[in-house]
Amino acid sequence: MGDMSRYVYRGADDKSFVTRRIGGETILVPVTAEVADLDSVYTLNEVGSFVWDLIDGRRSAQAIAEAVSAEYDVAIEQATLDVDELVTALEAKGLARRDARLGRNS
Amino acid sequence: MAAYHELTAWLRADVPTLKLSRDALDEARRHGVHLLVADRAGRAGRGLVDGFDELARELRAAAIVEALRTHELRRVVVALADHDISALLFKGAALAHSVYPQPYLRPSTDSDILIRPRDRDTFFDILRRMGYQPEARTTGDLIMPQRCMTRRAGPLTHVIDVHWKLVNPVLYADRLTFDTLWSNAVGVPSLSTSARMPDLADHLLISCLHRLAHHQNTSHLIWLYDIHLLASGLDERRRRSVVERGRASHLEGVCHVGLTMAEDAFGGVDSLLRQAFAAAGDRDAVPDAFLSPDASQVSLLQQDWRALRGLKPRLRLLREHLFPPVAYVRTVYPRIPAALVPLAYLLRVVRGAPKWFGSRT
Repeated sequence: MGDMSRYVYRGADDKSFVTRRIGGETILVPVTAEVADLDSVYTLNEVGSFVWDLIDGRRSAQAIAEAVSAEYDVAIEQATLDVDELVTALEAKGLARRDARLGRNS
Repeated sequence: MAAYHELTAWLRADVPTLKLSRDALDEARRHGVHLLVADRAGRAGRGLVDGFDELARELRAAAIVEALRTHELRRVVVALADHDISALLFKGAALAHSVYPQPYLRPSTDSDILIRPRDRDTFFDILRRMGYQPEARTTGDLIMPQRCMTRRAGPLTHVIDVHWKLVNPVLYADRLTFDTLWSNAVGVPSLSTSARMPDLADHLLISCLHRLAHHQNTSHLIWLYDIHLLASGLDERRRRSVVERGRASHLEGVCHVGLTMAEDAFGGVDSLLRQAFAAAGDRDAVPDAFLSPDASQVSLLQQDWRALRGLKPRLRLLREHLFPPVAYVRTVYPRIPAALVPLAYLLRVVRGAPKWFGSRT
């Protein structure tokens, strides 16, 4: 499991991204050196979109899990596992990163 | 025409209840309004459209492409602001971010930017430094006051159309100047804090003008939908502005045609607005050449010829048509050696003649 106490930011140092929302889904497309990586397009469902909206560099992964638990009425243990899984997947695509420092998305 | 009318009726309904046929859906794709159909069916009921799943995939792809184009356009806008160049976004991208419920519902293949003529070279330099190249097209201030710049970025090609006049036909090229539009311009915050576009009243004039000046009154629905959205969203003060500015710029006839076509297709156009332009009469009557998609290129050339005063500009008009830059001719005829370029010019005239005299459709 990743460090849930760290703050979660959108994007990574060498990547930016574009997003669009269709219905309840959010589409994320990584962009590196101003070229889109269409092989890494990521689609978030409603819960994933909720998590994405909370990723702002001011909330820890644990705080996001607590928000998910409250919003969707699921046990905090399950929400923690789900949020960690999603954030880890987003990190792998360069769409999110965790940092010990509090900040905000650039 | 049955599919066309079925489609417009379906889009006109506040909440569609009838099922849209395959033919009407194909018509929607031809007219660039299929993403609007997808959006509405997604909200009102997937069963309302045959082949909704395919349409939903198109909508998703369009959203991705639009997001990437917007990302790129933002870079361009910021670069222009960094160099203190005033620029106005107009047509597709500007409308997508101002009057459409979601920007990806308004398809466009390029981004149109209007600048002052004196800023051309600086803008082209900026775009070149960003990786853009000019597309091989004929040039000439009278016949083509715009240049298309493209940049390949992986699977996408970004296209920026740089205009220093709003439209190409001489008759209409200076009806709305950059400075006039700039004085009423508004921000496009969803795109960038630096982005500016003509306000909605001016944009209604532009949308009415564009479809006549560049597409000779074709009934292409996405342009009529632009007009429908613009006209139906204006408050009383803005409607008055449209009428005042339309009259001041001698675009009454142009507005009357556009608003009437949009009303016929989608409704929602204020009747007082249409009536205000209906009395244009002979003052601002639109020449026939701009009213039929079948009009020949020669009939449009005649309009340019008549709009120019004096022999010198008219000769320049002919020269720009007959003798485009060598670089362009060599791109069109790459196999002809440099010594035989005059032959390429002749070949171009001979080959082009049938297109000039025939119907454009």
